[in-house]
Amino acid sequence: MAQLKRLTDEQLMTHLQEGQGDALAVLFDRYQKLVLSIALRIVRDPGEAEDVTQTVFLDIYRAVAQFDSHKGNTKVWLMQYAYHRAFNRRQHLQGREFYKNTELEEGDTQPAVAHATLGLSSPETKELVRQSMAALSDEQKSVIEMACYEGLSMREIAERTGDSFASVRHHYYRGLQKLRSLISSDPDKKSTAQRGKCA
Amino acid sequence: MPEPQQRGTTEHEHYEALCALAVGGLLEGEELVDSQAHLKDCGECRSDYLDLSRLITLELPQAQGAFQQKLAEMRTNPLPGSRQSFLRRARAEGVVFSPEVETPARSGPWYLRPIAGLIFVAALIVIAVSLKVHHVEAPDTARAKDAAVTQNIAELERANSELTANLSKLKQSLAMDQHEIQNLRSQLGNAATTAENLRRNGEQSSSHTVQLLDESRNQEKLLAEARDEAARSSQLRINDEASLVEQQARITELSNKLRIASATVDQERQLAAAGKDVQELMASRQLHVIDVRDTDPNGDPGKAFGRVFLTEGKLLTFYAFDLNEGSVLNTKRGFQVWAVPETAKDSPHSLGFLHVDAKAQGRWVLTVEKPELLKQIGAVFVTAEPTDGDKQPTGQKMLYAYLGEANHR
Repeated sequence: MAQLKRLTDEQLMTHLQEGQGDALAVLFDRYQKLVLSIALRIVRDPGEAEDVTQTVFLDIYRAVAQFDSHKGNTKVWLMQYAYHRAFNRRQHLQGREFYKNTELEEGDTQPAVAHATLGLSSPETKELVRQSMAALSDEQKSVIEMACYEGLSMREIAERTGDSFASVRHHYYRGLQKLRSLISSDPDKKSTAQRGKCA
Repeated sequence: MPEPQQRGTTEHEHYEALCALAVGGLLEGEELVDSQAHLKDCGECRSDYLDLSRLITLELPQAQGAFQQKLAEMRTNPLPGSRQSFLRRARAEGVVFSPEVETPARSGPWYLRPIAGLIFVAALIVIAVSLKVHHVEAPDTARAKDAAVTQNIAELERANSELTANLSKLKQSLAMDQHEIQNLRSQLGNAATTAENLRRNGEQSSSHTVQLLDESRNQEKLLAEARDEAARSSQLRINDEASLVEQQARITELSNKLRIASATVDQERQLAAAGKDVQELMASRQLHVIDVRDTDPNGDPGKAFGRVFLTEGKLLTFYAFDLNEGSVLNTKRGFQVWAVPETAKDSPHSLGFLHVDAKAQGRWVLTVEKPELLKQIGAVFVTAEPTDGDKQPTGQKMLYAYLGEANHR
C-alpha cells in the first residue's frame, strides 16, 4: 500500500488494470475531494454527492480496461466521469421531483464519449477551449461558466444575473453551439444551424 | 418552458438546445421526458448529445482555472466515514482490497502541507488584491460581474480566514512533527552507535574467529599426525606382539627341549653315577651285603625290610622297602639311620635320613661316604625321628642290621 501511494496516476491505473484493488483505494484517497467538489457543485446535496463520488470511482474501476495513458491523463478522465455522473444525477433528481410517483432511469453509466477524442493532449485542449471561450460574448461566457464551473441551474443564473430564464437558456445553448463549432475538428459540426431538420 | 417557434429556430435546433440542457442535467418537467423520447428516435440528436456531453464534461472543465478548482477541492469536506463506506461498496461490487487499505492515507507528505498552505494563502491574498484593483479600475463593468466579483472576494476572505486557522493548526502540527523528527534523529543516532559497536564487535569476533580457526587447523594437523603415529605404533605393537608370541612359542619349545635334555642329562648322569657306584660296588673288596627284615615286638616278621651294602671304610648304602610312610610324614618326622660303633655300642652315630629313591616301588635309600666312621661300624638301625634330626635315637628301632664280617671278599 505504501509503495502504491508513491506511484503516479498512470502507474496506479496500470496496477488497477492488473486487478489490484488497492490501487483504486489510493486513487480514491488522492481524488476523492476533487470528484466530490464537482459533484457537490452540481447536485448540491452532500449525500447525493458522496454517492456520485463513489459511483465515479466504481465506474473507473469497471472501465479501467479502456484507459489509455497515451490518450489522456487519469485526472482528466476522472473529472469527465465526475461531471458526467453529476449531471446525470442532477437530471435524474429533477425528473424524480417532477414525476414523484415515477421511477426514472438515471441515464448512461459511462461518459458518452471517450476522452481525448479530438486527439489533443490535455494542455492543447485547455488552450483551445480558452481561446474558444474568449470568442464568446460576455453573456454566453458568463452563463456557461456559472453553469459548468459553479454548477448553477438556469434559474439560479437568471436570478444572479437578473436576466430572464429564457434568455439565460438561449445564451447557454448558443454559447455551447459556438464552442462546439470552434473546437470540433469535424467540418459538418461547425454549424448545426445549417443542417435542417432531424431525421 | 421552451419557446422554439418564438425564437424562430428549427425543430432540430429546438432539440439540440434540449440536448445541451439535458447533458448538463438542466432539463425539468415535460422537456426532460420529451428530450429523452426524442433521443431514442433521433440518431443525429444522439450524436449531438454525445458531442455536447464531451464538451461540457471533458473539454470545458479542462479550461477551468486551476485555482478555482483547487479552492473548491480544498473547501470540500467528505462526510465522516465516506472512505469506509466506499470500501464497503467497492467490496460488494467485487473489488478485492488488502487489509492495509483500511488505514486512511494522508493527503500528501506532511512537510509539504504547511508550505502548500502558506503558498495558497499568499496566492489568495494576491488574487484578492488584484480583484479589488480590477474592481476599482473598471467601475463600469456589468452589474452581474460586480456581484460575482464581490461574492468571490467574500468567499476568498472566508477561505483566507479558514486557511489562517488551518495554518495555525499546521504550525502546531509542524512543531509536533519537528519534535518527532528530533526524537527520531536521536533514535537514529543511538541506532547508528549500536550499529557501529556491533560492527566493531563483529570485526573483533571475525579476527578472533580467524585466529581460532588457525589454531583449530594446527590442532587438527597435530591430531592427524598423532593419529598416524598411533597407527604406526599400533602396527608395530601388533608386530611385536606377534613376534613375542612367536618367540614365546619358540622359548616354550626350547624350554621343553631343554627340560627334556636336562632330564636326560640328569638321568644319564644319575645312571652314570649309579653305574659307577654299581661298578665300584661290584668290583669292591671287603663288601658286606646284608638283608634285614623288620620284626614287631612279638618277634613276628613285619612288612618292611632292607638291604645294606657296606664297602668297609669306604661306602655304605642302605636300601629300605615298604616303610610306613604315613606314620612319619603326618607328624613331620623322618626315618633316621644310626650307626652302632663296635667299640661303643651305646653311642650310636647318626648317618642321616632315608629319602625316597623309587616311590612306586616303595624304596628308600641313604648313601654314606664317611670312611673313618665306616671303619668302626658294627651295626645299623632305623628310628622315626623329627625331621630336624636328633643327637640320639628316641624312637623305636627298626630294620636293625648287624654287619658282621664281610661276606664278599
